[in-house]
Amino acid sequence: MSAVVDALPLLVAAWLILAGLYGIVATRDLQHTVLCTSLVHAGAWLLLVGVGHTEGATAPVIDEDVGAGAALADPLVQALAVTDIVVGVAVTALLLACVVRIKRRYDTLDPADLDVLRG
Amino acid sequence: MTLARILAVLLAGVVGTAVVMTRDIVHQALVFGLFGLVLALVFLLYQAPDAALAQVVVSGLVVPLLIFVTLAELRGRSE
Repeated sequence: MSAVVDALPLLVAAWLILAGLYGIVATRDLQHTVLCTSLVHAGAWLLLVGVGHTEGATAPVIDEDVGAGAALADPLVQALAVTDIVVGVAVTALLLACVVRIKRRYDTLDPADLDVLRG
Repeated sequence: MTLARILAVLLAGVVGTAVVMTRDIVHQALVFGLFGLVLALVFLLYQAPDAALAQVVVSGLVVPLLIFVTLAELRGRSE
């Protein structure tokens, strides 16, 4: 039971990554592609937080109520997750800016229409 | 607590699948915001409150807003 609970966030993270990759491959809309990329990214965040958590651990914030010897969740992977979340916004904004530029230049949001050569 | 964790993680999986399955981009942006909030709840239950805070601001507000700004830009251009 405990092993299943520990593995569950990792399994769901794998599912999110696979679903996002399917969305990237299957869609005909570049905006949809950007959101599915974001979903793959979210899978990575869930993976990081899931790896750092152990049963019975508390949040890595030390105050008077939490003793120095208490079991803590791994703060390293949580810091990585926070960094990754912030980077994710920048990536999404950059990709959406690319989508706007593509729409203006080629007047399409379908990646299948982007194979024309323009001299 | 363990049951809440299991339910929240499974809910995140379901809503994440809904993000991929939604076709309309406006609906998809809203579903993605909902997914971000569910994921923030998951982070909170998995004892990562700082990640949950960042996630609420980012996925609940910024990403749907970015999508809507993109949509407004594209629609204003084409009409």
